[in-house]
Amino acid sequence: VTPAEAAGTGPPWAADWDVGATVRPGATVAFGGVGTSRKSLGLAWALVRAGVRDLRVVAFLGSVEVELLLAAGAVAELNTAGVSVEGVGLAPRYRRAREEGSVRVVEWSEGSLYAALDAAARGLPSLPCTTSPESDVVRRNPNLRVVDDPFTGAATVVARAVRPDLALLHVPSADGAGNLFIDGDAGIDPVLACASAFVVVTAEERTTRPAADAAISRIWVDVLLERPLAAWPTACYPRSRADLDALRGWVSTRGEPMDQLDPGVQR
Amino acid sequence: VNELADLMTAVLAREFVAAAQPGGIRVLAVTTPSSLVAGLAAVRLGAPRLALAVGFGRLDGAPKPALTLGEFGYGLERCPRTPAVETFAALAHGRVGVVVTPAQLDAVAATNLSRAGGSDDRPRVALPGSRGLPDNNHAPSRVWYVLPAHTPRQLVERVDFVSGSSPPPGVVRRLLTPLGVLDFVAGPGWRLVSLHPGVQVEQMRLATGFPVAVDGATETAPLTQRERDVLGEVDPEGLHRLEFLPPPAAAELSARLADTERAAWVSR
Repeated sequence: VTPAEAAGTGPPWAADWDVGATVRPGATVAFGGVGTSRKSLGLAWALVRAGVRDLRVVAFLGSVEVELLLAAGAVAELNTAGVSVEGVGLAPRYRRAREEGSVRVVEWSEGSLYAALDAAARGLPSLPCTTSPESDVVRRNPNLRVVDDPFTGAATVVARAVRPDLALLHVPSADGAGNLFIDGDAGIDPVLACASAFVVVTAEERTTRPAADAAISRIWVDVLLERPLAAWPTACYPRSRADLDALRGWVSTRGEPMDQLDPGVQR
Repeated sequence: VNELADLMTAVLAREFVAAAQPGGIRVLAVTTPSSLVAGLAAVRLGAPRLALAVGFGRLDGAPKPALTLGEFGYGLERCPRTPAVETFAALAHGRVGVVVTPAQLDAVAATNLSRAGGSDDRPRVALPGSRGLPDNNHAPSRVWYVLPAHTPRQLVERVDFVSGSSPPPGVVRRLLTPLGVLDFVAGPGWRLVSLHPGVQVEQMRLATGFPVAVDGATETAPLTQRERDVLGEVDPEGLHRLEFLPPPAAAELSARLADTERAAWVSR
């Protein structure tokens, strides 16, 4: 009997997640997934329904999870390397928030935001990265500084650690012990899981596949919920493709018809 | 327009083949329909070992020429998982080629995908964000700028916001547009490599917001029969033309591709 089998189906599996007990206003909340793949809209909705405000959101490459939280007025600061509804269009609420200056947007590059999360994962105050010291992203982002490398003297960008209070992930499957399987691109989810103080995961299904194939170990998982299609309308390979009609609908509508992005309403 | 789209994709494939020779790149990061098809073509046209990256965790995928399939078109079941550190390592060690389509590109080959006009705090138009541009334009890896239109709105004297800064000395950056192929090297700056058949130097100059040296420029070699055949084999539906077509034709092609892919999905 392996440890995974011995653990059975107890914690971190749970029937529900008590948002209010976990998330405080002003909390730093990071989303896993990349672009329009594996975004936990179900958990984003849980935040919205609990009325959590003033969030500091981290979305490495964001899409509709960012749109939903912006539409709900839940975001005080957004940290991202880019937000768009890939292949469908620009993200209208993100665009408007920036053009109106209504939300503080802290722009990163992919490499520098990865370094900031990697620093947190390793317990370091900061980490250097290969991002250009001459980029306006570095000039504008208070978490990025240019220093002389102590050994070579080369001008080097250093990223301050970003340690999310909460990471919200969606994966295709998890085993009884809580090991997470990601059949498609894991993106930066593994480093996000290690960087964050608390990790909540929705999984399409429970699986008995070998734990050796897991992308993320159960030791990083705090709450695990069985929630088929909780990434809708984003994709979750190999279970469901991105719902392009729903994504197009979101991009083309004005106002805040948030239930367009509600898996419970739309499925 | 189809002819031009085919030529541009074939030029891109020639670039990938040349860049993938020993000591060159080992991975092409697939970012656009034409770079995907050109990558697939390059593998058949002389770069058999070139890996096609389809994500942060999949540097060696087996993508189909598809528009709507996302990860379902990447052949993931046959591909190794690669941790994200490999993506950054390959970039840092000059092993990656990547095609980017910035909203603006300027006289020193700085790129912009963050905002058009306005100020940092109040952009006139907020674009998606700089994504990997601040990392890859600065890297010793290969970067191709591919623009579907060659206009002074995109090819500007100075970008509104520096996403990717001017490339480091010694690395070559190459720009491919409907008018021709241009090279950038820090110092000498932009140089015309070739104009596509029928394009005049003056036409290119008028459409470019920064100075370009034109000495020694040639005409882009026409599509060979072999290239035509390979494009037909790897992309029978013509996905690679999508980003170069005018909006109505692009919408039509896009709808047709979506139908084909939906049918293929349903019949699985």
